[in-house]
Amino acid sequence: MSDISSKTAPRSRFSVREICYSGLFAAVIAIMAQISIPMPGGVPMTMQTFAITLAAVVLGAKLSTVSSVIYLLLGAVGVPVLANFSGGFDKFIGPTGGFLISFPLMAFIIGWGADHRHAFRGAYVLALIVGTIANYVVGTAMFCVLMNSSIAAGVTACVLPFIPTAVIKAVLATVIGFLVRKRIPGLKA
Amino acid sequence: MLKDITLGQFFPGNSAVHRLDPRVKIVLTVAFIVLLFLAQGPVSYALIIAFLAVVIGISRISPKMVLRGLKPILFIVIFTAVLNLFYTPGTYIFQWHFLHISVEGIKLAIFMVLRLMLLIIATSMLTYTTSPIQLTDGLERLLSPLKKLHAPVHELSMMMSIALRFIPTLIEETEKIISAQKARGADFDSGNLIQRAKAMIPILVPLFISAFRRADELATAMECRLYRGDVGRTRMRQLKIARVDVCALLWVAVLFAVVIILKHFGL
Repeated sequence: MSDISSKTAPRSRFSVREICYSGLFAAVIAIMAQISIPMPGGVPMTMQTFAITLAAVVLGAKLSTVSSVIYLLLGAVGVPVLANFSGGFDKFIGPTGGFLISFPLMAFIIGWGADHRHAFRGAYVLALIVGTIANYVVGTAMFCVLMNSSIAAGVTACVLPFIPTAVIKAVLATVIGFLVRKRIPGLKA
Repeated sequence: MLKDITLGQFFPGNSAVHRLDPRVKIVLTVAFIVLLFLAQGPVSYALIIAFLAVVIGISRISPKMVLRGLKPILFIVIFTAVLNLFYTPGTYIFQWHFLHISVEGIKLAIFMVLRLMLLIIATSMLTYTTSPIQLTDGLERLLSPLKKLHAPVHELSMMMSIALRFIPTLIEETEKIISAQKARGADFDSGNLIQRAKAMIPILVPLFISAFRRADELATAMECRLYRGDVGRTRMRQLKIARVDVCALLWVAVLFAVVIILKHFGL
């Protein structure tokens, strides 16, 4: 009798394994976001966007999007998982909040590209570029709105200094990501 | 270094603000944010500042800690305030070549800075007086009406709890991996850009694979303990609305009404 009733219970849209993967990888993103590599003469390369990209490549579109949402929710409730051990809801409504808010979108686009990288030649690279650009577009847009500044000023402050490190992070995430995928039994390489 | 991550921004205490139900605090913080964008005149801002000062006093959080949250955005706020100051058209009270300061510019810059600072202080108060676990609980309960729309509210809450639980464990794991690789001759601190980036690989690949293994083991353990989503589950920690919560809600409702009235009169 109880067996019958349990079978008719509504199914969750996440399996238990998917819940655990998303939770664990939100924690991984949180840790990697704190690693910083000092750059010769310039902006230090933080691993936050690198971690998002890497999770997208390894986990695919669905789970990487959820992982980044969990990561942001933890940041919003005050766990110091954002860059430089910061946290709190104020980070999301401040001038740089747009970059954080667009992480799930970035993860979904890149993850979708990783999932469908055989659709056509260059599919993954295209998704990688579009995802990274989407992150900068949303971040800069929110910066301009909140700080009442022009698009030129926003681009100068938010985009130009970070282009070199963004390229390096994207390439590195791609190399490591597909390397990891090969070693995970459950994922198709 | 990485160990700092679990200390968080929560300052334990037993003040009335700490004891508020987390659902109430979340709702009140969101209402306060809306209030900041409704307010237009100096009287409204004075009332809002006074209210926030009272809340900070009741919570016994050190004002130094409150102001510390403003430091990261200080430069960016000043930069934009100056831009608004010099580029807003209006009645000029100062002019020199292409630079000019107008009454409207001064007003705009002041209100912008004020709004941003109050925004950050108010939301910092939420995380200073509520622990992450409480907030996770509160968020799940607040979002539970979305279950009717088939949003995976419980699953998101479970994922947050799992992530919170495993951050210290994975930090320990990361440090072990770093020590092990150093013992085998890895060098993370020297070399050019490419070499430094390449040095990250022996840390990241084991970390990811370790996380996958932990996730698989955790999923198996949860299923063996008959976890099957939130249907039919009971809860060990219960949230209850108390008299102090009702008082807080009423106070903010009154402030809201007053600010709306003042807005009507342009004050």
